[in-house]
Amino acid sequence: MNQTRSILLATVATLSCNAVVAAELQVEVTDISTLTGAIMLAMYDSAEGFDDGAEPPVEAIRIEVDAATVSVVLQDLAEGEYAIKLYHDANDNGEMDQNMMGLPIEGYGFSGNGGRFGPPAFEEAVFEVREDTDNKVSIELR
Amino acid sequence: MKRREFLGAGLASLAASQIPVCLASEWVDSTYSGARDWRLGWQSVATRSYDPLRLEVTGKIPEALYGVLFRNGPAKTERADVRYRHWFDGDGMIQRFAISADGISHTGRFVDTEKFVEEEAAGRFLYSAAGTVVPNGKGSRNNDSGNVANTALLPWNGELLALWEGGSAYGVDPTTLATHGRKDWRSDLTHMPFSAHPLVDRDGTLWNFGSAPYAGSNGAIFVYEIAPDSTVRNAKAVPTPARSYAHSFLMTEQWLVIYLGAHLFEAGGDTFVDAFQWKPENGSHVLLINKNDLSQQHTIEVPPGFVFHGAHAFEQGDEIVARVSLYDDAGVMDSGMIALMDADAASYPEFSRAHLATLRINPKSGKASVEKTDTPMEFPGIDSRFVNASTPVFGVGHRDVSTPTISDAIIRVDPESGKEQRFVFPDHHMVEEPLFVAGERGNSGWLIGTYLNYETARSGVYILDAQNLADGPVATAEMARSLPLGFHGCFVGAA
Repeated sequence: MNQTRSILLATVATLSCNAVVAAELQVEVTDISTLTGAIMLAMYDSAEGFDDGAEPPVEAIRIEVDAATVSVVLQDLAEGEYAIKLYHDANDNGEMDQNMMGLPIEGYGFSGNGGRFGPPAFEEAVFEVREDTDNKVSIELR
Repeated sequence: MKRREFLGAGLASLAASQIPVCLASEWVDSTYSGARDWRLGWQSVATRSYDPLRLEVTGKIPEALYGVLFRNGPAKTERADVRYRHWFDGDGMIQRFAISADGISHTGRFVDTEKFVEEEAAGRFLYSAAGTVVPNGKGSRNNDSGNVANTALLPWNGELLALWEGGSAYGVDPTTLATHGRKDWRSDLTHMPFSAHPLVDRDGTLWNFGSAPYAGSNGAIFVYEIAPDSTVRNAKAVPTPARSYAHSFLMTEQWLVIYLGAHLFEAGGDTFVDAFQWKPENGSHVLLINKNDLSQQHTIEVPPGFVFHGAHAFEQGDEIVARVSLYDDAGVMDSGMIALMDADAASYPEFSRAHLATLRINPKSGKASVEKTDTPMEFPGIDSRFVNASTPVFGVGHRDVSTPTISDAIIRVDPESGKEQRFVFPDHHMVEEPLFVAGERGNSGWLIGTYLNYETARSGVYILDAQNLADGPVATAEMARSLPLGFHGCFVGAA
């Protein structure tokens, strides 16, 4: 499945670390075992946002799940560094369900596919988006 | 018998029974000049299941033992030239011994955990195990990513629970051994640690705990109280005084009794096993949790030690008395069970062994004492119909107390008198957990368990009179099939 979304965020223009040049990014999510619900994706351009939630995501989108691999193309991105975290809202309740220990019981993933005991840090999950390049990240759902 | 003859005979009998058994060439040490190889007990099983095979019975099987003896243990320890490092690691395989007037028949089948099914399809290990980092592995998703369901079994609501400790139990069909799936109990208990040693109370309530030494600032125990219809009555997080390893628990009328060893989960280490460090300076603790009010807890320090298993516990005046298999240190877990997987055939690894010990814990005074005995004892059990101070404890030991080697003896101790009985199996036998099965009358009963004769490469079942161990087995049954040694089992009577 391919979804193309044109997303223009005024806030992007105000972020000094990312030059405002239109770039595209293909995000592929693999290893989806339950074909229900949606992938809830958040993309950040700072450690403050990715690690601490102190900044809002520059992209927050929903990708319907109808296959073991789904992908989306994000357009009109500023060049720069980003990191993605996502989860599979398999039961469509709008939340990443957790167990008593606070660990996810629905699938999740990060750009770079890192994170062993907890989520990776921004520096581990970061990737670059450049103009005039086929920008692509593949995220394995865990 | 020369080594070549042993191997030849062993392989011939294996070939005759068409049992594919992995004898990786690098594993059979080419420099080994002895006649026999005990390491057959840690072989990897190549086949996914075992077809029915009749055992040859010697002696008479008591009618009380008509039923099924189930055993669980790590059996897939090698894939694609990777051999696991630690005895905890292998995928669980259930062995089923059907016992009737017609004799005994064996079948076996791996538990189809999510891990096993995915790795079987891939033809290689994909997920790191408790004690092994596998090359080019996939990331762990949750506590069940490495779940091998290899530790113990419990009959529950018509199913057999195949139990691990780091994650969920799996439900298995007791007749076909087909896997039904993961037991989540309740949505918020999905992928939670669930010990391999749940206990069933007299009213049918299932009690268990899950150990999460990595959780919070000092680790946590999760207590589960599950009604006979599998609904969850209670699930509660209980903080622990230290990040201790905890494997099983005991239960009295009023209390859950959890021994928290001086083996602490520290940051670092490539594997879960390696993350633990022996810290005797921290002492061990006994955690008491009131069954009627889970928020009522006592933590009492005891001298440093390490415990996998206890036999039973009871209340005596103000005290809680617990009989446990106590180790002086955690060498069995952090190096012994690694050495067993990769030892030189000529030298059985040395590590400190468990001895029967009594803990006396007084929750009112906050004091506890530990009395160690000289009796080597692991896989302890009792006749649970009679639980008091004089209840005999049964377990596995070894013939030479001063030089512990292979487990080759079944031992009975009457704790009050200290009187001990033991039956030592012939040379080249390794024996496994004895289970008590009530006899036809009075307080009589039988001990049933399995063994491996590594010289003949034959596995078997032993049956001892629980009152008279020294008389030797009333019956044994053997087959031309050798099984790796396992951990725990259960017996389900035919009636």
